[in-house]
Amino acid sequence: MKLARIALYLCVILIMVFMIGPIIWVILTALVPEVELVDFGKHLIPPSHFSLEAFNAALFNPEINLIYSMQATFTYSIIIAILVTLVGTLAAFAFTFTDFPWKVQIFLSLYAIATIPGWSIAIPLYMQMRITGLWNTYLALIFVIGGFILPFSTWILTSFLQSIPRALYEASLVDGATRIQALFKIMLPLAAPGLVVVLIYSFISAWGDFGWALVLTGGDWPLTVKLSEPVGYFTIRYDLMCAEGVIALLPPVILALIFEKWIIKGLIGGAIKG
Amino acid sequence: MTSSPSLFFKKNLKKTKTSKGYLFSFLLLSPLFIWMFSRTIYPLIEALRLTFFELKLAGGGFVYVGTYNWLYLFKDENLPTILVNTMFFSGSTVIFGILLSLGIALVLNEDFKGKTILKAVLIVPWAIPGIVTGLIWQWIFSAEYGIVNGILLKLNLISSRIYWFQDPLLSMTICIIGTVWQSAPFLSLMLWAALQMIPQHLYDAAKVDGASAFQRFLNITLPGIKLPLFFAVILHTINSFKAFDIIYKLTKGGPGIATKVLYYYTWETGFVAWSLGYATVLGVIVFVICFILTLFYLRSFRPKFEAA
Repeated sequence: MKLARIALYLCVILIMVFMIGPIIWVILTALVPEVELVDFGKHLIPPSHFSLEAFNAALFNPEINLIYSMQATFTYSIIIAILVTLVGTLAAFAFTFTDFPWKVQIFLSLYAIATIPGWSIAIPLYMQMRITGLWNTYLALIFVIGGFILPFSTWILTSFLQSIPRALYEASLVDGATRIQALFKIMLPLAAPGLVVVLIYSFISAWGDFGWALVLTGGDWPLTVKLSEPVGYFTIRYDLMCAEGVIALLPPVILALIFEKWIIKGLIGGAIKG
Repeated sequence: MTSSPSLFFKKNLKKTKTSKGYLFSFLLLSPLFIWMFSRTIYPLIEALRLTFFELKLAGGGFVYVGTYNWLYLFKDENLPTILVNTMFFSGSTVIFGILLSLGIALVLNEDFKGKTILKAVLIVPWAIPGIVTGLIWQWIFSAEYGIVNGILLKLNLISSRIYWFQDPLLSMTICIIGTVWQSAPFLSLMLWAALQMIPQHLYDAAKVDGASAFQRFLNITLPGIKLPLFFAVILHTINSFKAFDIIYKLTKGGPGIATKVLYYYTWETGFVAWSLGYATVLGVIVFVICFILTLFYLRSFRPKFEAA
């Protein structure tokens, strides 16, 4: 029994090291002064001190100017999150509280739509964007990235709404509320946890999207596209590279940690339990 | 079996105000329909049409080429290697990803100090953008400065630095590690949720009957999470087919075409080589594979709808 406990804790430590170790290593690298980077990386010699120079340079150096990309990505991600939650909520209301033909089929087909691989439809979409002149605009990213997040968000929202007794909705109709009032004044507050989960999920997905940001923009203004390119002209500046990575992962990771319990419950409920 | 909100739609509802007309439902659904049609359905139909066309840069515009793009599949010298790469990549990613996530889920199912921390740790890789995951593993396996080389040298396991990304098999392995690292934690939380639904008294009864830990796992745990495990395999397979960000950042398909998988190749054919017609053919093939897998998933989902 004692041995089993030791083995268990050994497993826990191994999992933690594998999952979090690489991130910590990248954070440490970003904090090491540039001149000591060779000793640190090559010979594992601890640095004499830590500095925030790399973060400062990555964010504000005009040649890198990560702060601009952060703002851009933040802007379209937040718009996507709000829009997806709004459209998804309306649809989830319809799936939960109203009846119409082929409801189950339409609901399941959302899943099929969600799994359509991006590159399978990328060329027609790219051409649409070129023809309409939307290419390289926020609107293109919002439309395309939002569209890939929407189906699964609708699923999550529907499974949340279904935890609200339908009788409650029907009772409020009997009490004289209009259907719109019943949905927005009575159901919406009850579905608030679901809305938060979907907002966070959509924001994290939009923030991390790379493929669409790559083909739908011309410059390197989205954050992930900027990160995909090496930093520095002649030699790669690893400290800057790591600082960029840390800056890019912080917003989604912080959000995920704050809303951890809700996200786990919401996403897994939508994905698997049925 | 589950106490969670059910996705089951109640049938035989009393006719109330809610079910009078479909107009209200349709109004609520119309933004979703419009978005999904213009963003996904229409481009998909257009993609099928485009497989019979090719963009001629000199003449301008698309020219009908019949089945040329489809027949080119058999002439493409890279394709056999890419298909092998895809199977190797997806197969390994799924096998190791599922084994790891099942292992983590079993650990989570035990009682130990620091469980809350472990759960928090597991949500982190899920939230990280794929491109940053690539960056992290690129740095870990950097030949000159990477910590893996550093440790191996310190322990005298190697005499000179390994150039990971110049070796085909090592490059592929790192792509697989990165993908598993990103996807396994969330799958493990999913499987853990399923594990928790297995009634404890089954284990107690088995213990009384003298079943060993391994027998309990084989006869209670595995059957108990059969369906969630199946879901996890399907979801993970679909996702592994759509791996792009990590491979792009780590290897760009190199060295040579050693880590080029079908999905990456589709992008490259379209947006690097600009063979738009052939790229849509590849895209349609990827779509068909994912669609078949999705049907498997939904087929198993259906009974749950009706039985819930």
